Amino acid sequence: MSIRYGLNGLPVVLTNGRKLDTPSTMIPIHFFILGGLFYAGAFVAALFNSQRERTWLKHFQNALIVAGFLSQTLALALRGKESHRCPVGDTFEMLQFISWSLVVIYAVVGSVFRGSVLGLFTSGLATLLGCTGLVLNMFLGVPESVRTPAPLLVEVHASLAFFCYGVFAMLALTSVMYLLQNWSLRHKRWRGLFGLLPSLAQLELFNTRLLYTGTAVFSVAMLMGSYYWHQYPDSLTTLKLASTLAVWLAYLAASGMRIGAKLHGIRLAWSGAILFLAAIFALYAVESNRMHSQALKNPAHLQR
Amino acid sequence: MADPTQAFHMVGLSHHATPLHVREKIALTNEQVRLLYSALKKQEGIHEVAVLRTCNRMEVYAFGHPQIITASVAHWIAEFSEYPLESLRQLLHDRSGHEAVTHLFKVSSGLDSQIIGETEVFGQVKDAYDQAIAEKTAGPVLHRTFQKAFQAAKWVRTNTRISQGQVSIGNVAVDLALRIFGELTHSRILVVGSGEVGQGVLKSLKGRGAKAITVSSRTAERAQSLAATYDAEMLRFHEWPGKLSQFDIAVFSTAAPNAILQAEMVDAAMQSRPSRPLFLIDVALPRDIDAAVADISNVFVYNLDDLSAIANENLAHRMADADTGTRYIEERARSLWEKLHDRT
Repeated sequence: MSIRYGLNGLPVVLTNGRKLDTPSTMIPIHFFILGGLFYAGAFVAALFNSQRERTWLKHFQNALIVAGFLSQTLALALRGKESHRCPVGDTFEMLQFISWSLVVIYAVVGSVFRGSVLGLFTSGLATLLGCTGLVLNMFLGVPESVRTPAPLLVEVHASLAFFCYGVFAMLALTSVMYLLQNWSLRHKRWRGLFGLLPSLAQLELFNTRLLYTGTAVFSVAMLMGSYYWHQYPDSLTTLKLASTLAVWLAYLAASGMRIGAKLHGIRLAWSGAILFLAAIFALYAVESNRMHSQALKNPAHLQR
Repeated sequence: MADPTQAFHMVGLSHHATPLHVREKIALTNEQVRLLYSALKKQEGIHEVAVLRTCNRMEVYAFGHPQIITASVAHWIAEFSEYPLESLRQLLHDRSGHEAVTHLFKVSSGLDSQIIGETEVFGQVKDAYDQAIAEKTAGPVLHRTFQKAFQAAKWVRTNTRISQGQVSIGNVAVDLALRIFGELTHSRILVVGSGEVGQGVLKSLKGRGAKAITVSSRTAERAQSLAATYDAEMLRFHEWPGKLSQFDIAVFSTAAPNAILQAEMVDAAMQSRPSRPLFLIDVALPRDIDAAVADISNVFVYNLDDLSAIANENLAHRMADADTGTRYIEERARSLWEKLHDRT
């Protein structure tokens, strides 16, 4: 494998002599854009549906979410096939993978929620994550990741870890819903979206289950990652190690406090929302560090 | 209906012009309604009949000669209820043709109800239609008109918000409780005092699945009576403050001149249940709950003004959408009437 740099100063990666960035990467990009558009459409449909419930509008919204999910799945699969690894190699892919995981979780838990309110929040966040990734990719020139096939253990570790981000994203959504419901009950607001939100008891139960599930799966992912890191200590930068550990420990602490009845209700909801934001920023820090490390390794990139 | 003397006709009385105490006197029993069907079926000039009875109305929908229908219905209702015929005639209102169809559509969709948008009336109209079929008094005109009325009612309910949002204090309180606890079957409810509004709230809570109810009143007899009516447990009046932490919902409805629930009492109760919300409903005047209680975390306090504001806003929304429903109903009724007229 060799790395060259394109006219835009970003690395153009060659695997076995085959150029990978264009035009083949453009196909998944189009599918990602299509997926984002479907999610945005689902969000608008859910917004209308929240104002005036219509059965056809709910079906339309679900159809758009399914279409967005299929487009995103195809794009991620193509991206993975192309790079011979789980498509979480850069911020763009990470955000797309988290968004995809979020929709998978929605498919599992969405039917429990009344009306289309979780669909509204899920499609909104999926759109936001997808758009952020696309903006980073298109306008800020996030470089293509170095595409080397990774060991199976690392692949499973990465996919589990990012799937957990999907669970934590859902936890953030149900936490925000809890905060909104709590606020509306305290401030005597009951119309529109507030009237569609699930009960505080139901949201508390979901928050707890999502926190436990996410933390448990994340712990397994960390265990796998640590085993690999133990064998290849140089495979990780200190910043990445520290930020990942911090995210894991934070969720572990939150789960411990929840079990000990020290964290509940509004504090649990705030924790769910804030921890997810922190986890996302941790991702960005890791990716920035990775890009910086790559650039330092290749002075030609710095000169450009 | 080629015969201009024949029409779809409605005659009856309702809450609009007849007060409750009069409606109570005129109300017919099931047996009397069967006799009414029998009598009207035999009457020359009346071809089809359906009798609608609700707590707010007593109406007969028929196809035949309008004047004969009105006269016969007045005669037989007066006969069965033993109400003076002349007085009854003054209370009865009748409509023919397009207006009668429109009226049936409005009644079916809840647009003519005392509480606009209530859904119970739809089932009552269906029952009336079913009974007319059973009595073999429903013919082609009634079949078509009633089926179209059901379609129109479903459209109005689906496409307007006339049935959305609770408009009674009790149901508003229940809606709020559901937004906090999700379901009431496992919620423990305390009712302090025996005020009328408090009983209304209790009735609504019970109606929506509340099981673990405890009542406490200064007057032991009243508490006993309430406990018996709602299958509830009793608690001595001086005992409820110490046991507040055991309850999820507390309804206060006493005649106390000052607040009987202070912030310190709620604070103490929340110490032993920090993760479980507490919903306090204050329907007493003057208020039973001190205003400072509302600032305590995980405690939700709603007083009579709050509940009334929600009920009134819901009602205003229903009224606003009633116009949309009425316009649709009138259009559909006109269309049906023209088709019925053309066909015959």
